[in-house]
Amino acid sequence: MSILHRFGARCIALIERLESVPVGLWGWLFGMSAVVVLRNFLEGLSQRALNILDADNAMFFPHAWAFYVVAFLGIILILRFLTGERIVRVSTFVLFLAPIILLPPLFDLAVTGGAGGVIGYIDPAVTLHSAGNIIGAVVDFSLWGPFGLLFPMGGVPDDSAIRMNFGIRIEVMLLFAALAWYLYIKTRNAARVILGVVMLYAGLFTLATFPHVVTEPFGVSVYALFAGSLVVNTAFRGANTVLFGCLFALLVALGLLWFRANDRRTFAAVWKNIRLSRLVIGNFGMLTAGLIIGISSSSSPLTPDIFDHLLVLFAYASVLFGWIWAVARNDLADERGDRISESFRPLPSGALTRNDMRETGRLALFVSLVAAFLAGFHFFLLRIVWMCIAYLYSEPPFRLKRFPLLSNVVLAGAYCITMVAGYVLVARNNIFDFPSGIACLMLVSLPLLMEFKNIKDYEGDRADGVITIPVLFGLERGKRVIAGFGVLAFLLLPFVYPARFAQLFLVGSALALWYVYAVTVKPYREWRVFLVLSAGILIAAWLGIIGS
Amino acid sequence: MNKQHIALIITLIFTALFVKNIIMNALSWRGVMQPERTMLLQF
Repeated sequence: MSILHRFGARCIALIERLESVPVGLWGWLFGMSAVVVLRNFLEGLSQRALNILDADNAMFFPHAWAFYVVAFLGIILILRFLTGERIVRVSTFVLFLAPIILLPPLFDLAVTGGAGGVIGYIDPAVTLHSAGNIIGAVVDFSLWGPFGLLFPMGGVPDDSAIRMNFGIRIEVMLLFAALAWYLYIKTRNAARVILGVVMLYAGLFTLATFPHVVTEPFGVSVYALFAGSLVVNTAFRGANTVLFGCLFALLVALGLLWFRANDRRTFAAVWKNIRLSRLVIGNFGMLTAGLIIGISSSSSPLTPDIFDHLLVLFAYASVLFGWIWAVARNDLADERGDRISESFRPLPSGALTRNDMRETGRLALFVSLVAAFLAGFHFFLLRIVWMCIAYLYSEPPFRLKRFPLLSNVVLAGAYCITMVAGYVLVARNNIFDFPSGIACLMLVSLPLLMEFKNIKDYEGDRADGVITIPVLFGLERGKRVIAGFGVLAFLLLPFVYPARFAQLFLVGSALALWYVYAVTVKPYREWRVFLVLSAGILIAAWLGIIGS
Repeated sequence: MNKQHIALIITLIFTALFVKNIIMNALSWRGVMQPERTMLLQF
């Protein structure tokens, strides 16, 4: 027993030392990415026949990168869940296990001299179309499969039949042995070790059979990956690209869980700072309106498949994370003014530090750009334009938000871009075919309508030297001027669609009166104005549908 | 036997199975050369 005790003490000391190394978020990401790139280059050498290193297979590298980051994030979350250890310490420990993934191609090169064993995804024992089949496949995989605890000795089937070479099996078993010991040392609890092994097997099964997991439960064959998206982005096809997309979605979800586990209060503060009404109306609303216009103006019926749905989800994610980035940059630039009129915001209140803000912004920007790229080239292009507008709007030296009305035109441009981005999510739609009446309404009426948002910021803007209509005219007179702009904007409706002049004149007048009430009634509440604007947007979208 | 012993035994069983697999996998190095190869991602 004393040898075991000494071994145990050594393990504890080693884990303690590894866990305490200061790595940091970027150190972890870059360290992990470096190991993964190296692994895949070596795999390219050891698997010469697969042409991994050819330009045609360039997407293999992003695919494999996402695969390993998801795998290690999954391991970290499982260990954190079972041990309750701080997730930063768990992550650091797991990072030091990462070089194990270099072993398979090295073994392979040493033993086969470059001919290569087989590395690839596994076919599950049965099709994964029902819960019973999935459980059966997981059990088979964990016990008698190539990674199984009871994988039969002797009579090893040849590697090409099980799709997994010896190197990969050694890699996985080494990882599992290390992780089982980590769980034991941290918890000294049998149930947790068993649960940990079960969870690791579930995760391994998910990743090892990933192409089947993302297709068969949804009722399509695994070969649907080759066709990919048919409606949203026809370039989103082929195994490497589509699997990268699916893994990236998983990566973002696990990444969010990681940040939540790391610091619940900071995580909550970022979400609380999201300006829900502006996100829903100015971003999701615009995107949805554009998408509805895009779908309804398509000449032939659309038959979206599961990957089209995934890409639409990516489009919304891109807008969401782009918005989080924009809010973070805007808060950093506005900190002084917010101290006066918006002291509840995370920077003045101390809920988030400037560094938190910057890091959040960077990560959100990265996610937003990748998600946009997957959703299609034109969508990506429009998102970049949107980001440029957002940048010029809030960052010095331009900081266009300082100028009354011009700032609104800039914002309206951003909204319009988001709407057109929704429109081109139907891949056959062309930017130039976007209904010009709606674009005109967006670029002329919306700037007039948007001045209301400065009513709320009156005190801070005045202190910060931001010139807005309320600052220029004083709060009460300013409100009346803003109401006047609104009336003008709503009365423009019938002129854009002269074919329905009478009806639109009535609707526009009603909306104008409602708007005047919402702006001038006391006490002032911003949501009242948003309500009017939502009604206006719905009508504009409806016009787009019947207009096309 | 207390709970810690049970935990240790179970972890040892897992480790033994994992190590058995590592050794077995290492032994299967012989005969890895295959003329016919399955393409990666062909699934």
